[in-house]
Amino acid sequence: MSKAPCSIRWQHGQPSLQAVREQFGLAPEEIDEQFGVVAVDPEAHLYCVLLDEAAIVRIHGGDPAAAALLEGPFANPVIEPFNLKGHS
Amino acid sequence: MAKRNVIVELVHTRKLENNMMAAMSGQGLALDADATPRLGSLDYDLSFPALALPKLVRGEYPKDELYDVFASVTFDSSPEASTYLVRGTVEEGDIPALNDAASRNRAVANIYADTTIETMAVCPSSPPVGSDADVERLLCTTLMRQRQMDGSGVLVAIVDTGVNMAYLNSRGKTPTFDAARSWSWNPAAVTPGSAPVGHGTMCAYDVCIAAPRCTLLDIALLHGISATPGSSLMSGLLSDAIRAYSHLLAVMTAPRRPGENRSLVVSNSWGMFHPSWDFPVDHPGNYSDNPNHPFNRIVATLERSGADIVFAAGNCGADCPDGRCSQPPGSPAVTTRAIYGANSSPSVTCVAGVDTTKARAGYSSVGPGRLTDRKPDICGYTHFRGSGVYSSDGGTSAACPVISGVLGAIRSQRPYNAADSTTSPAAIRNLVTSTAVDLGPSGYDFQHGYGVIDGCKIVERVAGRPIVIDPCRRLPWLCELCRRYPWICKGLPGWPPKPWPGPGPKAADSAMTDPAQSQEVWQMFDGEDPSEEIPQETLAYVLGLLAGQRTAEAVKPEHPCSCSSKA
Repeated sequence: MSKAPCSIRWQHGQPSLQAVREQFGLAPEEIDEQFGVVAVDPEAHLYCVLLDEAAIVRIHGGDPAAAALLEGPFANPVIEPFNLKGHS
Repeated sequence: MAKRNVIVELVHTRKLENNMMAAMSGQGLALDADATPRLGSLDYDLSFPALALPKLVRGEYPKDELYDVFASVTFDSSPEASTYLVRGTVEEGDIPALNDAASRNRAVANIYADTTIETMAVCPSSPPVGSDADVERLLCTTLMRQRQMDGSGVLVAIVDTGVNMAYLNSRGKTPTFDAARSWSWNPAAVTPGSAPVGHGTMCAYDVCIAAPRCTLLDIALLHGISATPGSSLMSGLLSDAIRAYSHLLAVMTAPRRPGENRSLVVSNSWGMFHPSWDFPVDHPGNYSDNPNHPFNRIVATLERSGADIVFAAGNCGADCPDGRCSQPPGSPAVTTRAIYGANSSPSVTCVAGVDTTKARAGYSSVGPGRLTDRKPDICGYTHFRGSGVYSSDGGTSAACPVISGVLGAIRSQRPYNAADSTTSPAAIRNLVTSTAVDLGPSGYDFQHGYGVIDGCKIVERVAGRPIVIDPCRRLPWLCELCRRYPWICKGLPGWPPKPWPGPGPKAADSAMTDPAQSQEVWQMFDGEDPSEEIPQETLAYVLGLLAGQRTAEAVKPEHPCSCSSKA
């Protein structure tokens, strides 16, 4: 299943993958381990993970306290170079 | 009332023929007013002599095809058969009267509108306009280097398809390469610095135009994965860019070695081409218009940490948009509000493209931007013969690293210092936009931003004006002496004095307008303390010495051998 970027708020420094899994009740395959946990705005306690879309739906429909910590899914559009190859 | 320009086609007369012949032979470049009929209030342009228009004798076109290249057409170019074109102006309200007068005058064959014509915008199929040498000249890189603005000590990250350093070196670009702080989406697939020669290598080359001594970081982000209809071979996902920026954030915030510059310029010649690639604008997870998207957040964080982030505006300009601006292919291109997401972030410098004549490239996306209205910020040069990777370094892809290189050059002299607000990325953006040469409508506009980058003015702001001592102001008696007796001063470097014209692009007279060259004229005076008195005895001695040398040269025999034989 495709994974989508999500923001999580984490008050006590950068969380580990394991801590994120435990917080949101995620199976190992529901979080992209290669992507990991990326600090997006540490001052605002904001981090990014890639999660299965089904897992995101489940979190939003579950424990409100956990759901409040997670924002997403966000778009993950294709990006391409601004070269001149694509001109018709 | 407004005046209208018109072209008048006149039938042959001997006077018109003579006027045309005189103009062709260079003997007369003015219209013979006696050769033209009086037509209402038409005011003929006397600077435009009569121009012969050969008579169409036979034109056989295929049925219903007036412009077929296989049409059979012949002309009679004899002066008697030709008609003659002259031009003039008429008040707009007098046009009906002019038409009436022309229809009753047998000397007039026809009257046409003489519309304003403009150059065609550069499009992808256009040949390159100038070369990277022209870009260097336009950016005043000679002056930059004299002022140690060359990228030394500055990290410049090329976030793209990967850089090939061997190719760059073979093309004479020898920046430092930092492999340890480079990054690849998949190190097993792409080794930073050894990527196949392509788009990223072009971008690195164009950074080196203004910052030849920078330290390059190869952030190999884009790769061949996409299944998006109409997409090109090299692409990526925005989540890859989040990872790449996380790496750059770590680079920027890592402890530095003592004395190491804390500056990082991040060059991004990529982005989204069509809104259909994104969630809808009203979706909370949308990227293009949503400052809370994780990528837009991490861009803002990296900028807050002191990095100068530069993004290309995109290639969805209405004159000749990229094929990817149409989804599905063949449908109308989206050319309005086509600067998406981080490319339009208030935390970045967004770059439009102009060619080396400062004409906007037709494919350069126009604002307003999605996250901030006032995008693009500035124009960089593009569509020139440069890296040799492509026939031209084109697209806003090339304009972006040209600007990144200038920022790298600035950072050599004004490194980022968290304690000094004048070195913040916002201050550098302001420096670049406030010194730009305005293009298009006066002031900011959505096609050109604040105008095209002005390297000369930036040098002046960053490094100050060069010290130019005018000896004629300091020592008027010396100049008077030199004017009266120029042979005495012939040996003095810097004589005769040439006024320094101030920074500006090189024009026809390069010696007088290229500040770098002008500065050389004054090299002997550069750095002198104007308050320091030069002993007049010393000057008198020097002048006397020079005068003696001149005299000795003047009397020196041409054939010394004959002198010695006489002795």
